Amino acid sequence: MLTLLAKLLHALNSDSSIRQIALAIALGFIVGLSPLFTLHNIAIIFFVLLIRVHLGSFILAVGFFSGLSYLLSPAIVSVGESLLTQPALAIFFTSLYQFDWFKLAHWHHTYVLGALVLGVALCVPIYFTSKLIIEKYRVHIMTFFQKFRIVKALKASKFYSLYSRFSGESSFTKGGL
Amino acid sequence: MARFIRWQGMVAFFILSVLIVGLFYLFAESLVKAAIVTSAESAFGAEVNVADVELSYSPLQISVLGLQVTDKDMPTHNVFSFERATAGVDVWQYLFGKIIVDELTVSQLAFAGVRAKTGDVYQKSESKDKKDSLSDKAKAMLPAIDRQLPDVNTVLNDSNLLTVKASNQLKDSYDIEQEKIKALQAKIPDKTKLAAYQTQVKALGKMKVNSLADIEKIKAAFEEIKTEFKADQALVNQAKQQVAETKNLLTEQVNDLKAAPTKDWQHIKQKYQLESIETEDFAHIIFGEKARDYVEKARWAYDAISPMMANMNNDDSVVVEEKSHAKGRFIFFKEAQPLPSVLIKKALFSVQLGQNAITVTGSELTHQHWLRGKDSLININSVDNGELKLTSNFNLTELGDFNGAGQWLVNNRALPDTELTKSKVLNLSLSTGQLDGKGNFTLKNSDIRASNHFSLEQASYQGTASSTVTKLLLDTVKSLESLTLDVGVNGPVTKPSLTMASSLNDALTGAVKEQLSAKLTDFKGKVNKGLNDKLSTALKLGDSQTAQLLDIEALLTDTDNALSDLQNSDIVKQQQQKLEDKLKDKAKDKLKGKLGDLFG
Repeated sequence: MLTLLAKLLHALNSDSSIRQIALAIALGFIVGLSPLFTLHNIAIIFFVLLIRVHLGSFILAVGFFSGLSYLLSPAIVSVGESLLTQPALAIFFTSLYQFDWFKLAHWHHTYVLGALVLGVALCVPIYFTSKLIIEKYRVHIMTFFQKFRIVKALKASKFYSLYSRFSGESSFTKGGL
Repeated sequence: MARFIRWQGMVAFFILSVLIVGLFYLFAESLVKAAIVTSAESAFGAEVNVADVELSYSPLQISVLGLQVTDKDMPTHNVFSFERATAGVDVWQYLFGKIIVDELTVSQLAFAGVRAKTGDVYQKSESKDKKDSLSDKAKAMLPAIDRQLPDVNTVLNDSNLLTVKASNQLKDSYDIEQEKIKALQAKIPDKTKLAAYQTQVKALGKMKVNSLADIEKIKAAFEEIKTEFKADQALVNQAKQQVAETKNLLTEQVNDLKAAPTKDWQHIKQKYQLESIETEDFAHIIFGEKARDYVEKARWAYDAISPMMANMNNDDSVVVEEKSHAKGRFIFFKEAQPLPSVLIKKALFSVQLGQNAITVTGSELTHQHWLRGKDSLININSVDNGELKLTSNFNLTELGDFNGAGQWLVNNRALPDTELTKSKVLNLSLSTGQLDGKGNFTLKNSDIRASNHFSLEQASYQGTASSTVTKLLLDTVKSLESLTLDVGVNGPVTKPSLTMASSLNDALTGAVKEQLSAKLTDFKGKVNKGLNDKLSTALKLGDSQTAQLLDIEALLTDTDNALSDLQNSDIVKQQQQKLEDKLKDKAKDKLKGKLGDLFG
């Protein structure tokens, strides 16, 4: 099972450019803000798996922004609430509400809509900011991450040895995890 | 294209999806069970046990087996438990954010059952003290009618009696007022002084006047006396005013005194609980506690349900949760066939209450009745022990108003051994009885209006009594084979008022009244006589005081009149007239002399 997963990760991580990492962080931001099992998140995860973005960064970004969304939840709900209860948008949302996909996506939920709107609105600046930071400080960040105990522990794990066997030492570190 | 797309991703997505669905399928029941236990323990504050959870997916149906909720006030018992609850959920609507249950069945629902193992308690109950105090309050309604009637002299010598207080006050006031008037009386002119004034005025009138200088002299002397009159008259007026004030004060106090014996009797009746003997509300004494117990249970249910209803109703209007972590809410928009956010289309509960099985059916259970335009219906039926039937309906309007109504009926229901009242002087319980009854109720927001009629046949009672009156009461109740009881419940659900009427009152009134009336009438007569004696003594004093005041008032009026007469005396004018007449006579004589000389 672990061998299969390591093979898969090696295949997915074979090409990790700065843009791919930045896009992974931006998409991870959208997914992290919303509850995990929402329709748009499933679509984004499918997209992430389908196109060549850095999966490790995506998973880390989802984890990090999920934690952040917990703290930002009042603001997220507030955005969703103000949009969904805006009298001027009532006709717009009422017409959308007639579609099953809209209800299925839970976009009539204040948290989900707030998270999606904030995620989409901020993912572009996050993409460019991430790109800039990675470009200038990639080396520092890599060094920084490699100091982590969890990275060291991962490197000592069976999973890492399996992964190394299939991907080679250099490609793993290059992937930024 | 291959530069951007990795086709392996699709495989990964497929594997991940299968993994998630597979894991969910494997652990769904355990997850649901854990969720139910956690949320129920948080809501009830005590251990919750679920034996098992079963899920079937086509159609989606969730079954909870063997649920037990520990009573946090009594951890050896459950608040409620059931054997199996099955709910068929509309999956499509659930995915849209709505909980639409087509059918909910709960079997073997039981309340206050004994637990096999004492449950853990996580939150201490806050309502225990409240419960105790309400129970004590109900017991306090049983008056201590075994109390001996007090001694009449002790009652009459009580310095707190209003009659005594009022007569003492009247006496004190009179003494004070009398002193004031005496002081003024000493200052006002007495008869001797008035006579002296009259002599002085008369002397002025008798003075010989030969010229205008004499008149001026008289005028000056009269003005001098008038100044004295004025000073005295001012004192008289002051005294008159004082007398008027005294009269008003004493009249007021006499009126208070007259009303005092009636007030005293009321006070005595209340103090020695004679009132409760007279009102003969035995139905309240015996059944009030039990009725309050049922009302308390209804209130508990109301307190438990109303916040949920309020929260659900507010769900669509609350803007943002003011918490560190907000969960958000669904906003539902208009649609062709709107559905409430929570709806149980049909519900069936089989409830085990003691030895009796009761069926509760419900339909359209929701908090958004206006969306489908249908009321929630709850019906209760039981045929195990006689017939028990309740039909009720309720709805919540979009504005948040709650309206409910219902009727109930009981026929030939054998009652179990029931404790009716327990106090120091009387313990009474119903051993057996056949109950018939019917009633109706309406609820508007938190106001209840209910009328209930009960008829108890073939009743037998057991009990102990420790006083003459309660023994009599117990014997009378025991001798009754049938009785009727009408209970009215009105007012706010949280604090309703109970009214009770019963044939028991009529039966007991005669017996108890007979026993008490002679003693009570004698006591009442003696107390009232004593009070009236005190009143008449005080009033006699009041009468003599009033007569004295009237004498003083008459004297003051006479003095005032005399002074006014003297002051208004025309003595100066009279003397002027005399002088004019004298001068005229002199002139006439002179003229006559001259004419005589001329024509003589």
